[in-house]
Formats: sequence, C-alpha cells, structure tokens
Amino acid sequence: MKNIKRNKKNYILNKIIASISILLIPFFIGLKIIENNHSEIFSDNFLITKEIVLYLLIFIFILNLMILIKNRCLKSNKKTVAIVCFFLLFVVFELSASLKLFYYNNDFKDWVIKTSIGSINYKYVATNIYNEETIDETIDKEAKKMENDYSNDIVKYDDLTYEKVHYRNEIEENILKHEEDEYYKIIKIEGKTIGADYPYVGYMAVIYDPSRVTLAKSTGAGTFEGSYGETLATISRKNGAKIAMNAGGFYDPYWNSNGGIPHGPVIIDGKLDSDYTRGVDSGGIVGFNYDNKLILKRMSAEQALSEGIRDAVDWGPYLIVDGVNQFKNISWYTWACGRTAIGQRADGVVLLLVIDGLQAHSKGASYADLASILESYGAVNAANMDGGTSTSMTLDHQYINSPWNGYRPTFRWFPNAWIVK
Amino acid sequence: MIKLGDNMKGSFFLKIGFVLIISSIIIYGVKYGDRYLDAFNNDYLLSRIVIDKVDNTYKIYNEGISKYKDDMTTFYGSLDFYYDNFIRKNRAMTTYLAEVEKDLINLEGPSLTLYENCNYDIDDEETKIMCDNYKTNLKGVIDSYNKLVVDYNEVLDSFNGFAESNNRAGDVVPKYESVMSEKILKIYDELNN
Repeated sequence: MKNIKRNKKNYILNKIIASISILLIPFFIGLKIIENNHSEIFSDNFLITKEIVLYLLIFIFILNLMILIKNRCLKSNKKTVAIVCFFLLFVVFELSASLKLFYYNNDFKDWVIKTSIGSINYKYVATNIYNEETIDETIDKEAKKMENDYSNDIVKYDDLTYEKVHYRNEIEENILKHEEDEYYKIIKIEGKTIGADYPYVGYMAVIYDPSRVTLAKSTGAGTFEGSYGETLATISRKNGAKIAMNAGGFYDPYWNSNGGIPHGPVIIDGKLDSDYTRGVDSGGIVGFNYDNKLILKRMSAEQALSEGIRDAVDWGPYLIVDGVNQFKNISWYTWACGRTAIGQRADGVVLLLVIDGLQAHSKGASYADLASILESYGAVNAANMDGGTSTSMTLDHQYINSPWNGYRPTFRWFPNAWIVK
Repeated sequence: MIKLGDNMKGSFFLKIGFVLIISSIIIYGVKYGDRYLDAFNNDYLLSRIVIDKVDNTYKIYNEGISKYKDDMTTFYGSLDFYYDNFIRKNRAMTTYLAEVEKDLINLEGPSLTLYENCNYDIDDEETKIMCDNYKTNLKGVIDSYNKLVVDYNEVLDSFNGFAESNNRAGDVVPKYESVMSEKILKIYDELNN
C-alpha cells in the first residue's frame, strides 16, 4: 500500500519533470536559433551554460519519459498497442505533412530550392530532395522575373561612331562630302558683293569626275550668216546631259541674240569646230586637255590643238590662274550682273558656277566676287564665261537658276555649252 | 529525487544504461544536426554576405558604367571637327578624355570587388544576372575604351598628316596612350579565356 502510494507520488513527479523539460527544450532550441543568427548578443559563459542545460533537459526528459512509459504501458497491453498506434499515426502524419510541405507547397518548395542553391556548399540539399526538372523550373521562373529587372543594365556602345573623313573647313565639306556613286553635287551659293553688299544668289555644280565635263554645240551653230543657236535646255536634251551651263560668247551682229556664231576658237573632242574672231579681245583659251585639266592660256586654235586641248572655248577674263586670284586686290564695288564661271580644284574637281543678276533676289556678282567664291571653294584655275542674260544652268534639262534679260525671264540661244554626262 | 517503481529496481543499471544510450544517440543526433545546421547557416550567411556585396557593389558599378557611357558619348561627339579648328577642338577632346579616364579609375574598385565575389559558386539567380551583366559591361567598357584609343589616334594621325602637309609641323599632336590599369586588363583576359 505504502509502495503504491510512493509509486503514484513518483509517477506524478516524473510527469511534472517531463512536462517542465518538454516546455523548456523548445525555449532553449529557440535560443540556439537566435544564437546562430546573432551570436554576438550572448556571452560565451551564457552559451556554454545554455548548451549544458539543453542537453541536460533532453536527458531528463527522455529519462522521465522512459520511466512513465515503463510504469504505465507495461501494465496494459492495450495501452501499449494504443501508444504504438499513436506513434505510428504520428509518424505517418509527420511524413505526410512533410511530403505535403516539401512537394506540394510551392512557396516552401521555392524557398528550399532558392536557399539551398543560393548557398555555396549545400546545393545538394535541394538536389537530394527535388529532381533536376523541378529545380530548373524554379530557377527559370526566378531568372525570368529577374531578367526583366536587369535587362536594361547592359550598356551598348554601337552608337559611338564618328565621321572618319575630316575636312579642312565647312566649305570643303560642302564640296567633297558625297556618296561614292554620286558624280556631281549642286550647292546653292549666297553672298554679298564686295564693296556694296548687294545680295547675290546662284548655284555651283560640283563635278567630281572632270572627264565628264565636255563641250557641246547647237545643231545650227556655225560661222555663216543665218547660223542659229539653241536654248540650254535643248542642247542639254539633245546631248543627254545631266547638267549643262552656258559657255563662250557669240557674235551678234544684228542684236537679235540668235546665238549662232561662236566667238573665237571652239574645240570639241580634239577637233577645231569653228574659229571666228571679230575684234573682241575675250581673254584666251578656256578648256580641258586630255588629262582633264582645265587650261587657261592665250593661244591660237592650232597651238591649242597641238597642246592636246580636248574641249575649249575662247573667253574670259581669267579669274584664278595657278592658284592666284586675279582680282584679289579689288575691294571696291565693280559692275555686278548675272555671271557664269568655270573652275577646277587641285584635286581635279570641276566647279561650274552661275550667279543670277539684275533681279530682286540677286543683284549679281562682279569678277572679284566670282574669283572670291571660286577661290574659297578651292579652285586653282578659273575663268569667267558669257554672263548677263546668258547666265544659265540646267539640271535634267530644267533651268535651276533664273535667266533674266533685265525685264523678264529669258532662255537665250547659245552656240555651245558645257555639259556633264 | 527520481524514484523508480519496484518492478524496475532489479534491472536499474540496465535501464539507466538503456536511457543513457538513447539519450546519447539523441544528444549526438541533436549535436550533429546542430552542427550541420550551423555549417549550413554559416554557409548560407556567407552566401548572403556575397549576395549583398554583389548587390551593393553592382549599384555603384552600374552608376559608374552609366557615367562612363555618357562621357564616352560626349567624347565621340567632339570628334566632329574641321582641320582648321582642330587645335581648339582638341582641347575639348582632351578634357572629355580626362573624364573618361577618371571614370575608368572609379570603375576599378567596384570591378575588383565584383570579380572577387562573382567567383563564388552561388546559384542565386539575381546575383548570377548581376554578375553576368557585370562581366558583359566590363567587357564593353574595355572594348569601347580600346576602340577609343584606336579612334582617337586615327584622328590625331589624320590631323598630323594635314598639319605636316600644310607646313604646320608645330601643331603636330603626340599619340594618345591607354591608361587602362593592369588589374582590369588581367580580369578582362580571364573573362575572355
């Protein structure tokens, strides 16, 4: 009886100790988790004491549990079976809960994979629990989410380019910058006359290949009475020119401007076409030799032919000769009107220039103005051509300037013209 | 304090031995599990440190990259010039170039930190993307700077040719030399291999 009482007392004591232990163990495990993340807040002595107490508590709990089981379970097989069943159910529950947590809870699954894969040496935790496909799927999902956030961070430098060809100045760029297959360029010229500041407007045709510049004549041009010229557009059309510009002057005995008789020697394709000079000192030969060089020289037709001139007229005055501006010292206003000029740069580029005259938008240019314009565009040789009402330029057989006879637009007839094919 | 029942007295030492074995196994299990968790945790903490470092440095690095790109754009914009005004323009070019060089110096620190941390085998997707971007951008910086050196020297050669053929030998500008640090170039070589 006394033993039964004592056993009962011990049984209650065991139960209390086991309960206290089981309550304290989670508290110390909690401390351990905190220690893992923030060990710096605990002293070393506290950590050691905590470890000892934790293991002691585990020991006491198991000891008491064993005693309780022994005392209670061994008395009844039914109770033993019930406890075993309970434990089995508990294990099954634990396993199913774990399975559900690890394999069917996507958030937990993602967390485990990300945490494990994100570690340096414990990637196998994820690979042991999940198959490769599941891991890849989670990582891909994460990567896609990230890619959008970081896709703009890649900096590209393809736009860092620069113009590799440099020019001396803006004018040089205007002339020389062109597409490889372009053989000409039209530049609008605007300025003010030297000494008077009258406005002038005109066009410059830049011809990159001087061999394309030739002289063409009108069908009816000649040195006999009744010879007649043609408009620039007609000469251009008949010769299939891209660009055309009036060339030398003509003899106009009856002041009817029929443009039939060209002044001075005219050489076309190395042959003397005409040579009619009547008391006008025009300047000299202005033409291209077979090296496509612009030649400015006072000489006879025979001499010109013997020197290999390909196409030429006789006119002037010469504006620039061998790089020397013949009108450089003129700083005062001289007569301005419609002007035509031809020049060539040292690199062979030919410059055909027309300046409208005697009109509201363009008073015209003087020889000094022409020389100055052509010099600034790099001409090393240049000569004046027939001007005034004759000043004309066409592009695709259409006039691009405004030929004017002082009263109205006029498309004058010419015996010949510079054409570009 | 602990009193065992009568039926246990006979085999007390057997029982206590049994309890000790079970306790030892559990304590060993807890201890081993604890160590494992500790190591895992430390490993994870290290990976977090690396990830945080990459994250923080990446922001600084990216700001540096943006500034570098802006300064490169400004520099390339200044390469548009005429020979007649090159000397004046070149003063602006060298000023912009100094900014680019300063950017390179500023990028060196973050580059080295990222290089060091990106070498850890961390499969954190965000970190991986940042590291990939870092490598791509570093390659872009070095390639673009090398191109700049070539382009600028081409410009100088072009002007020097003009100066010499126009009797302006006094205007000839010396060649530009790369200021790229050896450390960065070493990283670049490793990234390329």
